[in-house]
Amino acid sequence: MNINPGEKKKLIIIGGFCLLAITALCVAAWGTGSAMTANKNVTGNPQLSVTEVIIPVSSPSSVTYSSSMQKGGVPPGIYQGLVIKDLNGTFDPALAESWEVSADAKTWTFHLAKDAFWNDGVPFTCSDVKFTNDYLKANNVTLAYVLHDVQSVDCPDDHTAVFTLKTSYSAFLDQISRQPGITISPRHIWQNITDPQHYEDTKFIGTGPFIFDQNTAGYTRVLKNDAYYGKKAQVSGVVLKVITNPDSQVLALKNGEIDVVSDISPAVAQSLKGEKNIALYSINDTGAYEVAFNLAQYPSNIPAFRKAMSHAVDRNTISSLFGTGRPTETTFLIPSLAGIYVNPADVGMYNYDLAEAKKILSDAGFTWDKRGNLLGPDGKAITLTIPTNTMAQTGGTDKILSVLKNDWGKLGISMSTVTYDDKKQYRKAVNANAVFIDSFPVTLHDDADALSNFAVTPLQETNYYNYNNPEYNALLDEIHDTTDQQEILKKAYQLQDILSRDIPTVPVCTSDTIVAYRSDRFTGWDLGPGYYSVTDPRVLTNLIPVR
Amino acid sequence: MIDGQYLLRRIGYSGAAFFVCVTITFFILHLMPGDYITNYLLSLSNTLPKEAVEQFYQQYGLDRPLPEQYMIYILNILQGNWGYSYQYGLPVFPMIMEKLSWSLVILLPATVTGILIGTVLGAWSGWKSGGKKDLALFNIMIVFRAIPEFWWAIMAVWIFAFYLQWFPLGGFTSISVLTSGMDPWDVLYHAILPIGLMASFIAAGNYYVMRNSMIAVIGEDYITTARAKGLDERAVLWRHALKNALLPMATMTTFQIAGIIMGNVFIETVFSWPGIGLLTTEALSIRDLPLLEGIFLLDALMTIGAMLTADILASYLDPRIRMGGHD
Repeated sequence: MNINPGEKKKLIIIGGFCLLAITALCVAAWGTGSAMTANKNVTGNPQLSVTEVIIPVSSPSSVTYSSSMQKGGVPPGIYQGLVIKDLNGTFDPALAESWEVSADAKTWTFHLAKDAFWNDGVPFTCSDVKFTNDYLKANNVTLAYVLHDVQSVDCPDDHTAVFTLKTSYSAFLDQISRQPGITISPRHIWQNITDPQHYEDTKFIGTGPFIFDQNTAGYTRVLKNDAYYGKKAQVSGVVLKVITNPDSQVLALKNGEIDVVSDISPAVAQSLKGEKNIALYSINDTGAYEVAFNLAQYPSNIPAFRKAMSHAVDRNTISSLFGTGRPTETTFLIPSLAGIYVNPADVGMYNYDLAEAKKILSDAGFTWDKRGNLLGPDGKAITLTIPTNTMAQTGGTDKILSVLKNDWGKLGISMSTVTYDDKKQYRKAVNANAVFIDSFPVTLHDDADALSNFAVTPLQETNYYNYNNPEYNALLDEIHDTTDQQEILKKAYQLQDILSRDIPTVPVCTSDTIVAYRSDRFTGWDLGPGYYSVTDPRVLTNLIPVR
Repeated sequence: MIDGQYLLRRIGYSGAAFFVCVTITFFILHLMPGDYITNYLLSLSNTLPKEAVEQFYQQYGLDRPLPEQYMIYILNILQGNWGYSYQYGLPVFPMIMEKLSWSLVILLPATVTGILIGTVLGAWSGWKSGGKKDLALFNIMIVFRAIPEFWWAIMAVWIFAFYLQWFPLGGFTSISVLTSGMDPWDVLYHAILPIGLMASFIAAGNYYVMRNSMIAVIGEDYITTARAKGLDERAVLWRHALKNALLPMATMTTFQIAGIIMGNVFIETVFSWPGIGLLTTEALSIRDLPLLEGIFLLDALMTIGAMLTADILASYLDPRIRMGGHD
């Protein structure tokens, strides 16, 4: 080898550094790995209380918080609203212990919890409620739109808040408690903040069952609030851990690094069955799908077409493809959540029957050419472009489309699809086409007020379906104006009768959320339908450590 | 060698290129379909409150004509004001810097190690081209690169983190950070697997370039001349072939280092490493314009800086290259 002494020296130095670096890495890996193993307690988690529950979040943004006035969100279980909707469609007390509403549904009086305190020891009073309403509106905070109907908030005393609305609104509780809802912010902190859009909160002083501890290096921790006036948590704290890859979440659950994984696929759930210390449960009906019509576009503007198509949706086959959930044979509301509000007379009206669909089309003047293509009453072939949205639950949409293409193809309808990755563009496409497939949160289909999705009001000038029935709008106004539950029920049934006649949409099926958890760590995860988030404060306060 | 006046001109052109990049980025982002507030509100409700949308546009100046928004944006940039994220309400620059610093923890050592290993292996393989060892290494590299990066990453997690439990499943610290604070050794422990995987990928990429460069160089006349002079093979390799074969690598390396700024979405996703790659993907999906503008601004700055550095480096490494002074 002919290397001069200078080069040789350089090579030795470089080589030495490389060896040193590799050795250091190996020692570090071994040393730290050993330390980690040595420090692990029975939970598999080092240096953490055994009664702290660890929940994965799939996005780093989920643990990036700014403030309670911002859209970015806040750690779970810290802030509270006045009421909280429960699984039966009624409302549980939160910061309001009780409430009453005037006969015209314009004045809402909330009796506030007397022993509620902010985490820094300041008593919670009505001035905080009034301040939240006034501050959101005065500073044009985006969330102020939730309180759009509120004219003013008055405080006759420290523990009574009176909301005066601009117009009657019987579903006001739903409005303030349904996501995003409104949580009450502490007046004594926010009154000195002049720029809420850019304020970065580091303390998160709330009134809820948990107190903010820290947010660091991919973890967020909240601790049990021992001074909480309501049902106290039995876990000592909750840790949110960022695990972006769903597969890694499942592996971490198996390893015991985390305590729960939500929203797993049926296939993964199947693979977890029989695993030691892992239990599964399904939260029914957390999502739902519809085949919807845009009544402003041909041929959906022909009632007989919509009626025929409602007989051409094979709900059972679609539902079986989902692997979870069940067919929904109602006009709009989800039975498991809406309960008594579902009109039994309108259930199962549109059974799957292609021959019936063909007959209805034929009776309405539709014909078929020699190749079997469906021709409209004007003699033109019926071709449909169906917009879908990648930001929605596309997996489900694809399954529905595959079944529809087969069945509607048998009726001579040619179909194509266009996918949009932006909601605004998707909305435009929905408006330009006759049929669309959508998924929707079940919270929009769980009570009589949810029927407002089909209404046209001064505030809501149009709807997805371009459906505008004056009789329907008037009935919905009447529901908003009354607080009599029997009256609301009666009118809700009438609204569903109208929908079953006009058919602006065909609800197809629901889907479930499957959750897997460590049964050797905590019990109490499954609270039934309606609690579809494992970070819901009611779920967290229901958890009981096994050991 | 590089001429002083040419260097000044080159810096001037780089400034102009940066300005053009910033302008194009601004208009493309603003003309992109969809916006943050519509997506945000539609995710909460089927009905879009017009008032809320208008209020948001007004707050962020989005109701003004696009040229006016552009002028305000440029003035803000010149004053060092990068704006606030729509989603988080936090200032953009510190957010980017924080995520970037975490990306650098894995990307910098991975890039440097990958370049070194790839260059050494590529040089050796090129020098031995046609031999059994070269062909064996070449085919191993082909197989390695033919399988997608994310699959290797998932397999690495599965084998080394789950079954063997040598490394953590992901993240950049253990949960003990909540009780005892951040430990650099713990961060290193979490970083080793992603660094090793990324370094392997970068090494494979560099291997091809270096191998081809070496094969091209060993066919040159000056190598034949060196051999004819009686120099032994190692002297020919170290003194003549390697130095010349490294020239294309210098340019490639500067770009690879500049590319670090955009992070690595696959690695960051699989290893739950909250770096700049994940931030960019999220910002893009929710149309967080100030955040995207900030990330692309920094990317343009780094890429243009890398190009300038590559020019200067090339003239320094190869005295035959003269930049400027031709006038």
